Amino acid sequence: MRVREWMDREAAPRSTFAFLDDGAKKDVRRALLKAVAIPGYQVPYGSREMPLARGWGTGGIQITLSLLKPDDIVKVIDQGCDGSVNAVNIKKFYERTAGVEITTDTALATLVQTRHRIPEEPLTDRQILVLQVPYPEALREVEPSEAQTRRMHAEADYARMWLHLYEDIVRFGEIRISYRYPCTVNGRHVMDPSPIPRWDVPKLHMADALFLFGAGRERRIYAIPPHTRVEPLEFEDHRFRVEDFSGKSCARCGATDTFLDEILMPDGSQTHYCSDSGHCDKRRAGWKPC
Amino acid sequence: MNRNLTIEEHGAFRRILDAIAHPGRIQKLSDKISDLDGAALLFSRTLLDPETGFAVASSVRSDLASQIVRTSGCRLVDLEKADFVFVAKPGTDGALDRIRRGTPDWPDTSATVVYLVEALHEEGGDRSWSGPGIPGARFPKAEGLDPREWDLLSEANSTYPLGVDCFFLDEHGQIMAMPRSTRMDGGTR
Repeated sequence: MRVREWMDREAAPRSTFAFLDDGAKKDVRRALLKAVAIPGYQVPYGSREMPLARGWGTGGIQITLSLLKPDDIVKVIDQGCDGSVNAVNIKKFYERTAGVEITTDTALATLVQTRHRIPEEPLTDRQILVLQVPYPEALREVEPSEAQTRRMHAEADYARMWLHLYEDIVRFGEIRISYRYPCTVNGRHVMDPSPIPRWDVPKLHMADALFLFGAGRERRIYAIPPHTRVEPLEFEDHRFRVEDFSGKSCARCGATDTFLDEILMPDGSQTHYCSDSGHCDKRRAGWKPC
Repeated sequence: MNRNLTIEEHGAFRRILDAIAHPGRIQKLSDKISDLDGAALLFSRTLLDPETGFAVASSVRSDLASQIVRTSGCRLVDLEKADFVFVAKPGTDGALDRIRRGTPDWPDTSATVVYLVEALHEEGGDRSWSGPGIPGARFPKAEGLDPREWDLLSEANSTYPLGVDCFFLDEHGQIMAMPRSTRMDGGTR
C-alpha cells in the first residue's frame, strides 16, 4: 500500500478531528482569547511539533486547526497566491483532517489563512484572517534581547523605534521599511503586522474582520479585533505612504487599484500582475481588454 | 476522544472567540444547549485542562464546580492562583480584588472571570461600552448581576494592559464577553 492510500484509508479516519490533540488546541485557544483581549500584545504559547518544519507556517496552521468547524470554507494563500505549493499542501491538510471545503474566492471563505498578504476584497465581520508570522517582535530590529523588548512593551517605551525611523529619514530621506511596517495597535502596543507590504497595512485599521497572528517558531500569538485602531508609525512631517503603482496595471485583468507584482519578461521588459491571484481571476472573468 | 464532542468544542470556541472579539454581542454558545449548567460545562470543556487552575468565587453550586473539574480535568486552586474563576449571581462581593490581573511584563498571566447570570440583553444597560471590537458604543445588560460588580470590574481594569477578561453565561445558554480593553462609562459611579 502506498503512503497516500494508507493515509486516506487507515490513518485519516482514526486521527483526531483537525489533527492537534486536545491539550494543544486548548493552549492555543486560551492564548487567542488573551491576544484578542490585549490587541497587539504577544501571548506566549507552547508551539507543538507539526508535520512540517517550524518556519513553514506552523503558527498559522496551529491557530487554524484550533478554530476549524466541519462547515467552514477555507482559503489559503501564500504571497497572495492560491496556487503556491505551500498553500495547496496546507489546504489539502485541512481538507483531509477536518473535512472542510476549500475555496479560492475570498467572499465565500469563512476563514482565510495567509502568508505575507491580505486579500484585496474587504473582509466581513463573519470572517477570520489567520496570518503566518516569521518574526513577531516589531522591536527586534532595534533590540536583540527578548527580556529588554518585553520591558519596552511593558513601559510603552518605543523611543528607540521612533529613533530608528527618524535616522532612516535623515540618512535616506525615506523610511526604508517595505514590509513588516511597525504599527501602534489600540493606541498602546507597537506590533509587527507580519511581512505584509505597506499596501495592506491600512486594511488592518478599523476593519470588520478579526485578524489572528501565529508565530510557530517563536511561539507567539497576537491579534487585532475588529473595529480597532491600527496606526502605522509616522511623523507629522513625514507621513506613512503605501507603494505607488500609478501608471501601471495588471496585464491579466487590467486592475489599477491592486498590489502588483513586477515580472521581468525574457526580452528584459517589465510587466505587472496582481499579487492576489483569486481576486485577479475573478476580475479577469469580467474583463474586456478592448 | 469522541469525535462529536471534539467538533462540538470547536463550534463552541468559535462563538467564544466571536464573543470576545465583539464585546457586548450576545449569541448562543451552542445551538443544542439552552441552560446555564450545560453552557458552563461546554465552556469549560472547550478551554480548561490539567494545565489550568480553576476556582469559584461566591455561591457557585458545588455539584456544578465538581462537574466542571471532572469533565475538563482542570485543577482546583485558590482564588489568587486561578486562571479561570467562575462566579455565580449576584457577583464576587469584593473578591474580584484577589483575582490575578497579570504583571506589566506578562499581562496575559491574568485570570479570566466567568459570570453565571440570569439573562443577557444587548440593549438596556446603563453603561456604555466602547473600545476594540465595538463600532461606536453598546449598552449590554446582565440580569442577575449586582450592579456594583461593574464598578469592581472598572476598577480591576483601570490599569490597562493589566486586568481581567470576563465572560457572561446565562440561563438560556447565551454568551457575552467583556475583555479588559473595553471601556465602561456612565452608571452609578
